[in-house]
Amino acid sequence: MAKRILFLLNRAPYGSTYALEAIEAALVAGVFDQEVSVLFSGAGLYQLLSEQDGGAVGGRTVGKMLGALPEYGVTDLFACGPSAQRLGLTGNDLCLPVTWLDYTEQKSLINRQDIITG
Amino acid sequence: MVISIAVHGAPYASAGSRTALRFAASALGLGHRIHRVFFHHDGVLAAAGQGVAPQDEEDLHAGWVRLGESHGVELAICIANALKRGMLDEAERDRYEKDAATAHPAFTVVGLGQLIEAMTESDRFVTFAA
Repeated sequence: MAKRILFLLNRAPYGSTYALEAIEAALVAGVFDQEVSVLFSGAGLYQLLSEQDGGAVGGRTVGKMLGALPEYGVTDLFACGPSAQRLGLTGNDLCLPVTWLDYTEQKSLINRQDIITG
Repeated sequence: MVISIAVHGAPYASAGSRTALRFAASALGLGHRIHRVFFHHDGVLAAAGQGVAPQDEEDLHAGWVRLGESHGVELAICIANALKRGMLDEAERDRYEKDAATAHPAFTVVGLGQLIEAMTESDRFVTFAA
């Protein structure tokens, strides 16, 4: 039976390899037909910036990898509204459409999950 | 209850590996079953067989090996994350023609599919972040 799995992505895209490796896991969860959601918060919002080029720092482009999520059946993409406000970002800066959530809505998203991971 | 665990942090650099090890031992002590411990990200470094723990610090690698060998717990390291961090078992050592296998044989090298399988086949899945 499919499980509801939430990936909490809160790390900057190029400060470490964690963002990339977590996205790989989310993609595989999509392949395995799980009910996958992704919540971007804090510095994790930078993963979604449309203007990015991982090649410039010798790696893959995190935003491009995120672009594969819908192809793998992962379409429930959420982002922390208060984080965006703090970082001065809006939906226009991002490479994928996300649903903005305040803290109460994030709490309810988290409560709906079977598994929460990063 | 059937429990699986994800370990994201490197031993010592993050407290996650130590906390996860204690959690696993406690769960077993309470009669639960650990289906799989999945070492992800820097967590794969728990498999490093050549580390030497300081005398006055807990030997986390030895602790994991003991858990695997004495309780039959599967210790799985993510292949993609392990290879780039130099954690190779005998098979990967041969495949990439490296000098030595660096991962202790108590650990198995697996794909990310095994992470998702651990999630679907367990009653609880607990992540210990870095």
